[in-house]
Amino acid sequence: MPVTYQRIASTTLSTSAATITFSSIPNTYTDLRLVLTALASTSTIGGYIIYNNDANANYSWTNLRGNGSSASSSVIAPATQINLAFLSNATTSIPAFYTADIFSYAGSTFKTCLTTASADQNGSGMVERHVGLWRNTSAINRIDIYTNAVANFASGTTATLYGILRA
Amino acid sequence: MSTTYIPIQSTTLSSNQASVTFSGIPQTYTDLVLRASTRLSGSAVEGLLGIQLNGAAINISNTYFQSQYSTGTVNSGRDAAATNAVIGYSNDGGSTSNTFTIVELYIPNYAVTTANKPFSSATALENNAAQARGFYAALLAQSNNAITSLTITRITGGANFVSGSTFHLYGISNA
Repeated sequence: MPVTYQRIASTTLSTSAATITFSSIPNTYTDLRLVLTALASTSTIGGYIIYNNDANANYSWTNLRGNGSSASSSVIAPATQINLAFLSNATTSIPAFYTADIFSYAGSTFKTCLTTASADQNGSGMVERHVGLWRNTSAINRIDIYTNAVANFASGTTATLYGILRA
Repeated sequence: MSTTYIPIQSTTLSSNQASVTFSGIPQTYTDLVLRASTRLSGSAVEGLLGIQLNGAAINISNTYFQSQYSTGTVNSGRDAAATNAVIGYSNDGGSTSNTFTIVELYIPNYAVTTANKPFSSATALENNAAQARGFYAALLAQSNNAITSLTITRITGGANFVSGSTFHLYGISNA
């Protein structure tokens, strides 16, 4: 039985940063899983990802979102990134939790991902599920996680990229 | 390169039981994942599932959205902080025989002592009848203490998890 679900890279920020990058991602796995627990440097923060330094309108995404009082759905197509959450809610003191499952990232078809956002803040916050698409047939070898420029990821933010291998 | 996603503890009920506790959770992993398959022993179609952390010593709040076959709607709500917090719904004894609910919890950075802990839950209940529900929640453990024990409870519905319910706790390491 092959070894699977291995850490590829991990980072814990010691100072605030606007971007977290995973580069030189090996193409030897089947799927990728990104796990991010984010704090914001000054205020509520938003986050999104791009692949292989492609900041052009080659992405699209659809979400389901609950904010504690209503549920909604949005579609953005085309987009210049894949949102981890439509409106993220990490703050300076309460982390938000995000995941992204990126399927067949090294294959020669367009790349689909499922992202989750879990950001309850004891009386506010939201929960989301997104499906995202990158219309590119290249293998993904780099992932950049950006903030929405309102604030940076704060010290203590952790991000880990795992590789999942099929049998 | 090290392997991760390691089984920590596992329980398959051989008789009905009111709750399942994983205690003495080692502090050597980065994240915890709980996967369970549950059914309750009452007469309703479904019952609410709960979670207690560190012997119900931690307040937990949530924000959720859910899809319900019975109403044909998707809605969102929020529960105030409680020590037995809602994580979703389980098949109860009034649902179609042999149907069990899928439960997944993901708790990142559970051993960290410098911040509150956000985590996620998802439960999926399909009944081949006039009740089904998908439930997705963001939860917040309002304590900086490390999580050392975890209990899955029923809040409403039958008094017990039935024999055959399974609960598996895994540790994920980023080392």
